[in-house]
Amino acid sequence: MLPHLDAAWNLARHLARNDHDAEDVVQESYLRALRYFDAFQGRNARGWLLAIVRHTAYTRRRRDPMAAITTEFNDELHSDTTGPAGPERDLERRETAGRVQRALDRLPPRFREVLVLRELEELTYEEIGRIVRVPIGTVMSRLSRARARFAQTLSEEGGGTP
Amino acid sequence: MSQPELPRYAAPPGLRERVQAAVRREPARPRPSGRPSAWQTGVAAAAVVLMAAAGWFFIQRGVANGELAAIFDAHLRSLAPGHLADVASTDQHTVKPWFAGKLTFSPPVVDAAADGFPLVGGRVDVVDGREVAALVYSRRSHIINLFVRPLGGGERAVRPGAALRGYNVVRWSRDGMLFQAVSDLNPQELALFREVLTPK
Repeated sequence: MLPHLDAAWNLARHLARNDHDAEDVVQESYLRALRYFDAFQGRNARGWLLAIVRHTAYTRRRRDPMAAITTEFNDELHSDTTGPAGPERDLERRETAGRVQRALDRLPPRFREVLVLRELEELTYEEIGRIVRVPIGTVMSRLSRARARFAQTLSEEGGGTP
Repeated sequence: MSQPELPRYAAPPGLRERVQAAVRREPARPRPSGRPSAWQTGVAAAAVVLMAAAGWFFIQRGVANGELAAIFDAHLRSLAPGHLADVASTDQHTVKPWFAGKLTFSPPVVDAAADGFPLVGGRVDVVDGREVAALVYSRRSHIINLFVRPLGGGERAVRPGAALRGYNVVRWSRDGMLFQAVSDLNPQELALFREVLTPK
């Protein structure tokens, strides 16, 4: 009975960078969505919900200094990719996925969120602009800078870890 | 584009139930008195309507987006050397008959050179699993691909415009045909292109 839960989770998880905080963000977002349902103009439910998720994630970060610390700590956790060893190819793929994940987590939130909204949620520039509250031109330039930064971070990741 | 695929997180098991439980707990609490049940019923009804609308919107959008993505791909494909036009002609009376026998419909071919959009040629393309006529126009050094296909039964032209990676699309329908123009041309001139091709 919850619309767009997967999209909400995906954005929350990318912004919070760990499961625990992401779940709090999602839960709070749905409560807010219900509470402010009057303000919804009925055009784009997913975009509206994602805007709430984003806002919730950012206000939580500001409100709770512990959250920021936990996140930093988790960053370090992220870089440890010792998992269950499988066949070599499987392992390789998992390592690539881990590298991509770490590179993405390392991007500033303003870059991370546009990449997630564009590449994973496949929203239009206009929809992204409404969620992030910037003009379309800014969305476009920010996306291209995010892609460049991401590629750079990814290549650094590749050189750093065996 | 060698950019690796970004990871998409799937909602963990049990999340839906936990959020639902939280949502169910919530409305009862801040209500001081009165008729909470009526209020709750209202919210529930609104939520159902929202979800139905969202679901419908989602499906509509999904269908439209599949073809939209395919159009961008077809446009990019056409820009590879030697792929732009199978019949290269600036003469509409050469291009239009060329399609006969290659397609089950006859796309309207208009030369808009007088308005600054000279016809370059045409080809048959497959977009999103459907055969389409691709008419190629140019504007200064920009290439415009105009994909034309008959509208399916019950189909309506959805979302008149879109943008992807610096390319723009405008869509319109006329006389049972769907027209989709894609180019790296700016949206304003692409809109002008549509106006030129659809005289009142």
